[in-house]
Amino acid sequence: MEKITVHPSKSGQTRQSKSALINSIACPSKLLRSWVNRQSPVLRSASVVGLLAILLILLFSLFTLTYLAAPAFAAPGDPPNPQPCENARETEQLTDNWMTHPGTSDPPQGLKFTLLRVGKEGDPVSLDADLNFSVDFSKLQSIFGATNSDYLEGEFHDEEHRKANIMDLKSTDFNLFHGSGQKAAPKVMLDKLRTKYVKYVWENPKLAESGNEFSDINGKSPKTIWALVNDYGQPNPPTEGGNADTWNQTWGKYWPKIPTAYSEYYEGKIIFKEAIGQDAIVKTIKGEICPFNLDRIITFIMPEFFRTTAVTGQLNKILVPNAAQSKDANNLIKLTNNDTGKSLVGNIIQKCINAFNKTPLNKVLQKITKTTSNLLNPIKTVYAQEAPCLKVLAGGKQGTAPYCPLPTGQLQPGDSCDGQNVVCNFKIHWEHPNNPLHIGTKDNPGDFDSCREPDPDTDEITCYLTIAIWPVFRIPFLSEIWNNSLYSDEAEGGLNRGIGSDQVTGRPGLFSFFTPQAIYSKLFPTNYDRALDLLSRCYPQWPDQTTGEQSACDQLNTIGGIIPCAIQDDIKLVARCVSGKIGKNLPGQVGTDPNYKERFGGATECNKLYVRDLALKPKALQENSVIGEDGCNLLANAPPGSGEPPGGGTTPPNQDNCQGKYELNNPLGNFGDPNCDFSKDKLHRLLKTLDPLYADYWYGRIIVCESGFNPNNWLTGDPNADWHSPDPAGAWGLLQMGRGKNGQYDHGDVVWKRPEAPSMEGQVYNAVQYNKWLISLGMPFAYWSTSWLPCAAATM
Amino acid sequence: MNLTELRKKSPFLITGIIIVSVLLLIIIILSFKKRAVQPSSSPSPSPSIATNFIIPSKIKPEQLPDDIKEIRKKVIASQIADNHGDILLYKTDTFIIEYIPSPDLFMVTIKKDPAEQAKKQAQEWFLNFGLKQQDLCNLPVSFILWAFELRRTNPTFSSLPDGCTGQPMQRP
Repeated sequence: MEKITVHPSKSGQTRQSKSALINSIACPSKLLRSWVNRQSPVLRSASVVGLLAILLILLFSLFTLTYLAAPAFAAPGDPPNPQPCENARETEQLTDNWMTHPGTSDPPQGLKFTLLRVGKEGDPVSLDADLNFSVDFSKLQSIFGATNSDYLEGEFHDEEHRKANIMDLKSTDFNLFHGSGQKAAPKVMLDKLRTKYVKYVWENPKLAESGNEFSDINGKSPKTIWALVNDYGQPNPPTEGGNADTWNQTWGKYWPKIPTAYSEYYEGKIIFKEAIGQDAIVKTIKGEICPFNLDRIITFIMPEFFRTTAVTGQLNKILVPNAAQSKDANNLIKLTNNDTGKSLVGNIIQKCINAFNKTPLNKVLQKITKTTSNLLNPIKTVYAQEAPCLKVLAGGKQGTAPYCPLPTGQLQPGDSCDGQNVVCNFKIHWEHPNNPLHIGTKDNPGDFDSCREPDPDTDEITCYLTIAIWPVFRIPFLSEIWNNSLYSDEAEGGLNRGIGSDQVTGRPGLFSFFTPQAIYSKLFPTNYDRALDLLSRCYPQWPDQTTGEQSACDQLNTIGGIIPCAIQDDIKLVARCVSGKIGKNLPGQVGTDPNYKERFGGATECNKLYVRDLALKPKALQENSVIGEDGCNLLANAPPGSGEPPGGGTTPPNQDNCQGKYELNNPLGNFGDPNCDFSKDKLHRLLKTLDPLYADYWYGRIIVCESGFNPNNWLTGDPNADWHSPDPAGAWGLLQMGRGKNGQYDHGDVVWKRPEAPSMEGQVYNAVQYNKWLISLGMPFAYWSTSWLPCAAATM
Repeated sequence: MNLTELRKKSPFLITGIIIVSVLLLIIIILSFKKRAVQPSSSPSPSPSIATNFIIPSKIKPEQLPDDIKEIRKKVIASQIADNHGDILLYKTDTFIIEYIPSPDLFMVTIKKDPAEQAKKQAQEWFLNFGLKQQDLCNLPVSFILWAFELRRTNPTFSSLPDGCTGQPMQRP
């Protein structure tokens, strides 16, 4: 029989609760005591113990919860078990690289397509398509290889380096043993980095390098980090308060071999951006809209990026004052230690940038990917070698970057890979988000780009819609590496060029400090190098003295040519003689304007990008990108040409004001339109001929801002005037250019267009030519950027 | 904890609280300051100089309504001179109106002050053909100040006809 209990009344219960609450507020211990008093003696004592235990746990958890909350990435202190590809980490520091068709902003071939549907007006139709996208992940890694980390830190991860007998190294080899940072940084800073390295490797036995063995300075007793910590405990070098004697007998013997940065693998992503319809495609390319992402995201692993970022970040910390350091990437090791683990894909910052077509990476990406056609090429065995997770390319152009195959779980129905998961073909399914669409008419195509007239027999209408899909490679840490490595006062990304980057002004630059020897010799060639270069270009078939490049011969003539050197078959011997005639001027000192020196001293964009490209990018990337050929021409020593302006030389100024059209309030008179034949119509047509790409920009913005279509416009260069040109010679003509200060094309003091050479000489031609030179330096329209800025600032 | 212990520890506690408060205060001030000085994505326009550029029309001439197309033809046909390709349509002491076949637009070049008055007169000239003010946006008509001095004396001058909006071409 069930025991019947009498419950207190509802009002009594409320009262009791109320008094307990008041008691607990007044004296919390009373509440505990009153509750315990109501229980049996056994239960009472058990409850007290239990409560105390809970209190203790709570108290203890205050100190330990933060540690428990940290993800167990791998059990610290476990024996080495390298599985880097399976344990890659995710980061939000991804840099977007849009793939485009070479030389354009369109998507790669096969990913811009037009679909047609046939039906009667208003008929519902569905639009979808299946595309194929193939990637060779082994080649993808070679875009950014290990060599860069090795250059900066030293080859600390190589077996030869780890097992070297330092005591027997010759002085030159000893010098090479250490990287740039090792040589430049104080010991106390290096010790800290190494201590952190040991701790991290010991805590993360699944890192690729956890199995690496380091021998002592005599090249003996190789041990892993795990073994060293087990034998000697965590390192405590004398610079951090450790005992020097103990140190020298333990860790000290291995210490110079310990790297300062570990290599951790990170995930990159391939996403797909879609623009539907011609209008959306054009707007996307112009940067007016940000296209949506397709659902498909492909994750892959990039091995070496973290180490490079970490090394460059460390060097920044070592070398650069705090105020000038990079924004994010200096504290990567610390950051990762405290990291809360993998973030969700949804957390990826959805950057939206323009497609690009001129950056080096794009060309390389083109080579490692294929779309729709040509998918079934046999896989080269060099990329699909043995089975282990981490693979290293055997050699050749692709460099020696390690790479991981496609992680498991990335393949979806319809996808396929080779046996090693290295070369994969992805099936990308696209469907219109607004399916079903409706057939429109010629006048009102509706959801389509265009529709034809109805077929007279069937009354059916054919409608067309173009779709563009850009693959976007989101590469970890790329911006950060470049930020760390080179000072830049210009964003990497921008309209129609570049990568998406958070570059901020005033970044420090490692390579202004550590310019590699190979680049230094290019920047500052010896007299012999210069002589050999001039001779080879002037006399390409030496000893036959048929001349080749005239500009080289001209430069040679300025030092008296090859007279009185003996003519010998070996051009090198002649060059040695000629080199004695070359002065000690550095290339940057050849020009008359002191600003030209900057091009060689490391202060201009052109130089910096060139140094970066040569120093930082692997050979394969350089070759694929034709770096140096169409990029910055550092070997030129001044803006093109010099001396008299090419335009107007035979069309002298006069005092004709063309029936009152011009006020000739300048020192020359009618210099810009002496034949009175200028018209805005002709100007536009000339621009379309000389520079079709930018004709409307010249016409609608720059010329109208600079001169209001007045070829005789003039602004004084007198610094005492309220408004004056920065060039003391003044600003002249339609484009407000100077009188030769910056080379032969810096001439606005000439006729707007020579009638006898209609397309080749004059103010417009000079400006277009000068701008082409600026474009080659990556600074289009920079000449006009300040002067026309105020008049059109509202539109910038 | 007795009072002596508490007294010993209280300076540390108070110091700790003060430090935390000060840090919080600094963070708050800094975050506000950062927001205040955050640079805008574009340089601020010079307050004392008028803009001067040609706005490309959003509508191509062939896409204009038929009646406007007809009036456009009449406007062009009113030419009084052909200056090496520039079709002169109207001329006063302060401004000239031209049709420029390439790139197919009407250009009013204002040569003297008062520029705003000249602009109004030029617009009226167009309206007299039967156009509405809004039609001038797509004709298109651009107003150019001939001399730099005019841009200084007319800092709020717009290259667009009154009542038009547009987005000029961007820097490449």
